[in-house]
Amino acid sequence: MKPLYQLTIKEASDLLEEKKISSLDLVESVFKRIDQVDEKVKAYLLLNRDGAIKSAKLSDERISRGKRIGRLDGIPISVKDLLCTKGIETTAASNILKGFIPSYNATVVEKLERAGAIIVGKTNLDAFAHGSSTENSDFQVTKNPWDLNRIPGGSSGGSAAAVAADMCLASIGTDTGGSIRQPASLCSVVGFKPSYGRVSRYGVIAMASSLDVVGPLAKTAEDASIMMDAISGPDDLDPTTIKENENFTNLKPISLKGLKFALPREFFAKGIDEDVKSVIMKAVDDIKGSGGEIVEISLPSVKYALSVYYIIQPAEVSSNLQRYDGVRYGHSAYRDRNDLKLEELYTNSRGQGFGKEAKRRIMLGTYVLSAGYYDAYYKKALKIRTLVKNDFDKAFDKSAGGADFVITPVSPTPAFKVGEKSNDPIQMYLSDIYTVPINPAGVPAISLPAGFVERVTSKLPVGMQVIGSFKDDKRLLEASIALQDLLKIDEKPNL
Amino acid sequence: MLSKEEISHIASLAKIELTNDEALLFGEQLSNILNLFKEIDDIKLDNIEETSQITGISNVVFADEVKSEDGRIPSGPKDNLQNTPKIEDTKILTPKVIER
Repeated sequence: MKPLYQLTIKEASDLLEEKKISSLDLVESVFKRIDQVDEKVKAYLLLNRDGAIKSAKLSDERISRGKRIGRLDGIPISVKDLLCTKGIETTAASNILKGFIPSYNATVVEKLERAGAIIVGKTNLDAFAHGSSTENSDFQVTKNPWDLNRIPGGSSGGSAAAVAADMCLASIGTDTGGSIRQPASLCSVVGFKPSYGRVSRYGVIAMASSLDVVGPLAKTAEDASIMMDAISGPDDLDPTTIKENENFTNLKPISLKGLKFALPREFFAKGIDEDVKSVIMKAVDDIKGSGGEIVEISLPSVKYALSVYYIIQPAEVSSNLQRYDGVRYGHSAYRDRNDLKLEELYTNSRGQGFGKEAKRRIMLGTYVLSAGYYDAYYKKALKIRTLVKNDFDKAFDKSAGGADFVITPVSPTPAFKVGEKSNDPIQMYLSDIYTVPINPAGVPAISLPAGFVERVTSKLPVGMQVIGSFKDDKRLLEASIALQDLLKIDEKPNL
Repeated sequence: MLSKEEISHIASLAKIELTNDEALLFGEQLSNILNLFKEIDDIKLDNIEETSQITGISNVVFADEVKSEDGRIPSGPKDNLQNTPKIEDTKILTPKVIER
């Protein structure tokens, strides 16, 4: 049998059910793996060793009494350090929240714990989820398990690297403009961005509230659906959650035959790496070969989506990050000084506590919302957001011959080198060009491992993005299970 | 190109103290980013409505009552103030807000 840390949730769950392994075995195996490889990968900011062992024993006790809660009971997972965990330090990988101990759990964390999942640790991210490489973390740079000189993507880079390197069976990430999908693509794991509102944002440190979603990174689409089963659903504590509850229990692959997949030509034009394009086109051929219908479409307003995103998102960031005032929690210039005036307390605390990217986004957001510029930037971006949303509505409009799913690349290039783009914010923003249009439209999208490109020193993963219509999360996951069976990419990085 | 005065005005609105180096760097970088937005200058947007969120949900309300029986809501000031820089009993201390 393969080492326990290599198991999928499905495999581990079956073995636990049959009492062939214990949750404690599984959790200890995962920690052993972390001890072996995380020194190189640096995916974790914090390990919950004692808590996890304790929970594993409780889980084993339930199993021995025949009272297993469900398929996540006893399964070791990790959580991006953007979600509040009661009594466990939660930092958003930012200096301003270093040492912050939440007094409550995020709804997603609460639901996972109630499902019996075992949180082994908190994973690294770009501070406040601002970035596409995890280099913006104020604490450490996570490395790509496929090539330790390269970035794992971001902002959920710690989660993607941890899953790819078998340092947990699955992880929870967040996605505001690609932060689940892009790292999943660059690390060859599955990353699912649900429809906006499908999963509660309560207790998730806010980035851009109209775009943020929480979702799973996993080894398989089936595992992602098991995670969705536990974390999704309406929540009184997040009034933007979708009221209808979707059932993600025991999803099975659907036949690709007769399904219509649309390729938007704007996503395959200039700027895409030719090798990446070949990998996606090969996957598209495979889909065609198994009976899927392939059509070309245009999403004409999507070319403005990057601008729209980098206006709306910083605007919301500047508003959400106002709460870090040095008065109530977080880094405070007031801790060591009694002679500060109120205004100095604010400006000093924020100046010292925020990293460069957070400051850049707060400044940009403040600018586009300021008198004289609000109409030219923010208001205009909200109108173009309508056009982007309309493009997707039209692409999926069944009454007008629309598609079941839209297929695009996730990232225009494979993982880039650490340091390659860190001093050039625009180059970094451009690496999100295929993922950012999805969030303003609120539709669900998944990154599935599609293949590899050869580079001089390494073989680098490429992901394929499959986009569904709003609220069609379940069918997108069912199709993803079928697509993963078809594409059969199950290689592991050599660490 | 954003001027030094513009950057310092934005920083003061955002209540962030910037170093000289940061002000220079952001001046250049923000100007480059704003340049990128030129592509949306000429789009015709008459009669297009604004989308600020996509759910269509509006005015969600709930009863104003404390629900702490499931442990989700912090139970009291002790929990809530554990991260607060300066407190006196259960009060948060700040510098003087109104000058005489």
